[in-house]
Amino acid sequence: MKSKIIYLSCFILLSLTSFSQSISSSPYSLYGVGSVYDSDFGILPAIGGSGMALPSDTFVNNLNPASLGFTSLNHFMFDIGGKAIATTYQGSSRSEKRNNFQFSHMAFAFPVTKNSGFSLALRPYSSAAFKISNLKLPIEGSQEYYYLTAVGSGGLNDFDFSYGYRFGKKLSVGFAGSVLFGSTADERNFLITNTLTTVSKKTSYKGVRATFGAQYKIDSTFTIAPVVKLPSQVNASKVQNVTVIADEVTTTIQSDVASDIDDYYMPLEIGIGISKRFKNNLNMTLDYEKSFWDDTKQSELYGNFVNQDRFALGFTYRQRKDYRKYWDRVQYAMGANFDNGYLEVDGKRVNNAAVSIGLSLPIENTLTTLNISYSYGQKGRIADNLIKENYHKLSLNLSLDGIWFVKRKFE
Amino acid sequence: MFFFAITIISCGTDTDAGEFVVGSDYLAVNNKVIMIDTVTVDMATINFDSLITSNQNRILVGNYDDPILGKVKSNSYFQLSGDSYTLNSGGGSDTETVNYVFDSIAMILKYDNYYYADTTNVQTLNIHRLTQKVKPNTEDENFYNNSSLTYADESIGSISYKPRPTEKDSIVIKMSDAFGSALFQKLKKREITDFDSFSEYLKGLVIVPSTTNSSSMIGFHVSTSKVRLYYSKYQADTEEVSYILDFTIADAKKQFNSVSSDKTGTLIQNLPVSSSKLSSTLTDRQGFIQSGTGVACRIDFPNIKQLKYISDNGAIVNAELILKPVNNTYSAKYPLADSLSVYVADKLNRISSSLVNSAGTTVYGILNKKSDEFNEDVGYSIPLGNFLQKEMLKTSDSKSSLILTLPGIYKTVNRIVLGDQKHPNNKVQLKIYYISY
Repeated sequence: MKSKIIYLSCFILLSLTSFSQSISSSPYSLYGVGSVYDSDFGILPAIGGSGMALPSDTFVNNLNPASLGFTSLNHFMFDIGGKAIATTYQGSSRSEKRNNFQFSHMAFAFPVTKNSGFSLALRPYSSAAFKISNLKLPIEGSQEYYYLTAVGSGGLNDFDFSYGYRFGKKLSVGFAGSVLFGSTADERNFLITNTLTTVSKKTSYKGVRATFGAQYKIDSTFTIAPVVKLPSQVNASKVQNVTVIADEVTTTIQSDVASDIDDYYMPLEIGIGISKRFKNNLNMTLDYEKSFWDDTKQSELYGNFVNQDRFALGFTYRQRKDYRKYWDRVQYAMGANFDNGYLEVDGKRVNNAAVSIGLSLPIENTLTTLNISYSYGQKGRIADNLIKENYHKLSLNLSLDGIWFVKRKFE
Repeated sequence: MFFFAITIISCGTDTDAGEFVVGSDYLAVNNKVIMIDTVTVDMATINFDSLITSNQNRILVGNYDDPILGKVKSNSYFQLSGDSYTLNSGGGSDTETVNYVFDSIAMILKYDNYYYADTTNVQTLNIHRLTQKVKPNTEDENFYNNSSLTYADESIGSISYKPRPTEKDSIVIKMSDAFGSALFQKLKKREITDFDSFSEYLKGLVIVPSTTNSSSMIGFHVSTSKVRLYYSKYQADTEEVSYILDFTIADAKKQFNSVSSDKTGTLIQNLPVSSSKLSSTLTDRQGFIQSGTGVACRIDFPNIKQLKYISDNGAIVNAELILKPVNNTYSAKYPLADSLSVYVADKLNRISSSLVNSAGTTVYGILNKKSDEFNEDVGYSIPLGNFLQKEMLKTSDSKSSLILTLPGIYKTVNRIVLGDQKHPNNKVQLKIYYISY
């Protein structure tokens, strides 16, 4: 236990230092507040990101705050994860491969009373890292062209605090507040005829968002869980510098000029998830979520957003009795998900589909598990002005479980 | 331990060549890059009062009838000074001077390769003596294109010739023996011994072209052109020995060209005073520049400040003004200059500075190609992004104009005809590159 705590502190430290360095560079990061990361807590990446109806008993399930109502008493949970993503970007004429390693999340959850629980989670929400080199673009109103080179960086972070309360044995309700914060930096160089104009800006975002969820056990094997995320406004402001280099002389047009820009709107999202166990060892989870981006009237500054439907399906299998050897206690998982994308680029949606498999490896005789999952997905498609991303994602999540508030009976 | 591995290598493993872009239209949402070519450009012709023509190191003489801008004529005035004022300064005693005899006198003009108009026509030049000293009437030390000095009616030297400025080295104008002999006697009798006594006797000369037929304008070197006196020593027992005495224009400030023009019957015959302008709408959609006579072209951008309203924040990052010489107004006889000089002026045509780029370097209008006269792409390109950006942002109501001249404004008579924005064939073009941010 002692050594575990030491490890734990090491993880926290390392995670925090790597937090700021995590980058995911995608051409689609140009839009909105960047590419939004999957929420990869515990076993979720292995079951296709489904799991609104799963309880927070072996991992911190941040898909639904109501899951905290089912936190085991006296258990303290700590969930931390990282992922490695290898992406192949395919355009109509070429393809390119990039690898990326990053911090995924960090979360604590603990019971407050015997029927309620609380969690704190910190994770990168989006990445606005992108790069454009010497892109030839038409000068409006002419037959001429200019060349754009741009680099984006930064992104938003999400700090969640969730509370779940269970009424009786069947119904749990929960509330989560998310604080979205962070900034994106963006430097664009415009080579227009023989002059170079540089527009560099740093945009800061601040916003809060509320999530309500419930989980209802229809019977001991079947749970149904609705989740509603309320629309919210993420306040945005920018600080901008503009310089023009002409005749080898730099002229400053704007220097650290702060201004408000159009706020970013988060949509109303309504989801429903079910969890059903078959024969006591096979569990199925199925989620559906609709995001009402159309109603946000998002500024064109962020791109063209459309309503999104997301489906996620997952299966886990674990032998429930007769543990003869270590592998009998391992949980096997697989899943798939599909969404039609909330982004529309040149009238085409950027959809996403992925399949995944995973293992949950128990450590020692505790509830601590190491979750390993692999998923393969595709995002976008090859078309004019669109590219396809094929990605292989390897997630490693450690769900640590400590027993609190009880005298140690045995070590 | 997995996490150690992950966190350690998580720093900057990405290599992104930036070759993949989605939705290039979206990129223009934040920053629009546009080219505007509909901004009004007004063109007019103006007239400078006077141009300094002294100390330009060119004797510009000749006359021609310009098919577009009328009759142009240049007289050249100068003061001479002798290399020496003694005969045979090389040696010998004063007693020998009695034996020197006058032979002849001539003016030698060295071509400086400048010529304009029709050099195949015969040009007649006459030399006259000035009846007043070469001294400016104005408070400054300069002579102007409209300065003139009085001179005697009598011609003391004349030549009718076909100028061959590139093939020949010089022309020689035989001067009258009476003039030469009289000068020789003054020297011989030592009545002229120094510059003062010389310039009192010969105040200066003027070369005046005959205007009976249209010919050409020719430039001669000031420093190497001279009046040469030929004389010889006469002795009974030996052969005749020849000597020369040269009178040169030692002070270039005492030489100037009086360039006059008669614009009667031309489009710009009613050119107003120097603080005013003649709009191209009254001159067949054309603007004119003529060196030497002070005709210049003025460009105005009356609506430039409206570009501020294209977007909340925007800048002119570059701009190019392309001025096109009107077809059939230039030829081998009337060649296009390689460049145009550009000045910034106020509405009363008062020049404040040369047009400069953002580095403060003077910019010119550069001829893109000489090409044939039917080519509509022949034009002078002036970079004026820096100027227009400042004009756009100017808070005061005053607007600056551009004044275009040819580089040899003080010592040539080249001219050019430019089309305005509504000229049927050779429209002036203004391209403004604008970015919103």
